[in-house]
Amino acid sequence: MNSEKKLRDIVPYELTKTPVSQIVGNRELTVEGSKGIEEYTEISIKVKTSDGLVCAYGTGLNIKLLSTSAVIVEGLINRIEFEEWR
Amino acid sequence: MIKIIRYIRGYIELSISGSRPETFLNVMTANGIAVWGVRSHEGVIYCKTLVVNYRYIYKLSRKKSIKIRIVEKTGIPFFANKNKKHIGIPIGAICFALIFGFLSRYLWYVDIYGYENMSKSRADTVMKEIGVYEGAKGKFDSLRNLQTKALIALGDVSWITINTDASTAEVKITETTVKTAEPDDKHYNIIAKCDGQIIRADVQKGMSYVQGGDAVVKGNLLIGGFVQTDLGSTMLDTAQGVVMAKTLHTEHIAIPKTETYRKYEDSTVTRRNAKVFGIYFPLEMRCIKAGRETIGFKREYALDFKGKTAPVCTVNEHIYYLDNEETKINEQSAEKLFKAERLLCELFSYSDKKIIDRNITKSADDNYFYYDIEYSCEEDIGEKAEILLDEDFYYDGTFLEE
Repeated sequence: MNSEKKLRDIVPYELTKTPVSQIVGNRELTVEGSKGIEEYTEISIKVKTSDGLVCAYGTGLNIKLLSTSAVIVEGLINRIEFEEWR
Repeated sequence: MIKIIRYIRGYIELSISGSRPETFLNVMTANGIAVWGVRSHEGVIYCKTLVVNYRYIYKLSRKKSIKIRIVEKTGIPFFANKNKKHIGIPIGAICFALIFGFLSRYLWYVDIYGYENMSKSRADTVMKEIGVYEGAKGKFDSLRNLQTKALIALGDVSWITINTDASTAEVKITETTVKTAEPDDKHYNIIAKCDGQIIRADVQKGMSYVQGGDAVVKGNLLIGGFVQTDLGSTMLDTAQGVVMAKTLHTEHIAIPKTETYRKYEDSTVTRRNAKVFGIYFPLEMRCIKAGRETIGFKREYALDFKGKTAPVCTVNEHIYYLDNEETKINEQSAEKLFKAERLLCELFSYSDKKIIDRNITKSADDNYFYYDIEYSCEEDIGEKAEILLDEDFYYDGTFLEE
């Protein structure tokens, strides 16, 4: 929640209503404006947003924070993909 | 901080298995249940949440046909539940802390030192009167006021310092030192303190009014402070000198024919007590025979720990029974007793006199043996008497004409 608050100070989601994805190195991915988890395994995580799916692939992926509007994923991230809604 | 709060409240790690366990995560989040430490392993999702949320999570899982299992329980609620039987230990620890904190506000030990001539009981009594004693409150409004009260109560001390350190009070008493006599600007005659016949008068200052062979009575002037100068005037001075005279003194000693002695009996009673903050608690129940006279002694054994004395000590009480014994005294025994009395009398009353002769007469009645002693002594019968002057007298010895 502290990370989410910090992000909101920089790019207020309420203003843009656009999901914001932020990656720190290849260790942490923050998705603001998420609508939940679509798929979650050790090696992949798919986060639902209003614009589609944000998919992160890697190893040792854990969800550090899960709230109604934000997800923070940590672990070794190899690849991030964006998928449109089918 | 958040980890501490979670530990105090207690949390559980759940495993979520079934079809699409991720959906259940979304359901939990949507229902306001906070989760953290979410990880996935072999198709099973593990997450942590507060234990208070479990009941609701369980109901949700039944609705969504998800299988949840508690993997780990952490926190104080689980610890307390596991050690329910030993609840006395934390309660005891809390009680100890409360009692210790409460008792620390009071004085456990009072150390009074620095005095040599004063008795310990007097110092203890005065300290008790002003409120410095074992068991009293350790916080004083004004130490200076206490010091002043103690100074007034004790009287013959020059300074008192009272310091408190947590549960210990230190009282240092500094006694007054006697000053040497200051020079006196008064003038004195030497007069006779008792009747006698003058042997000789050794005058150092002043004028002698007696000579060897003169008989004097009590109050007669022996050496005067007024001195005639060569020019014929009178000068005022302090008389000094020794006037030796023969004197007579009588003493009367009566020895009773029946003497009652108090003696200790062989049997004693020993009792042990505990003293906590000045209050005595008996450790042994031994009774004293009713109606008997007794005399007792107490000895305290304080507990020391690294130089600090605890407010708890044991007190051993030894009680002796007293018994009266009547003894008849015959003439022989009376003589011995009289001799002892006479020696004591001479030691204390005649140490400054030279005893030339004693004349002892004896008599007796039904109850006593009587001994009358007439002492012939040689002694210095002079004593100082202040010369009282009126305001019209000048130092050069001239009296004003009225």
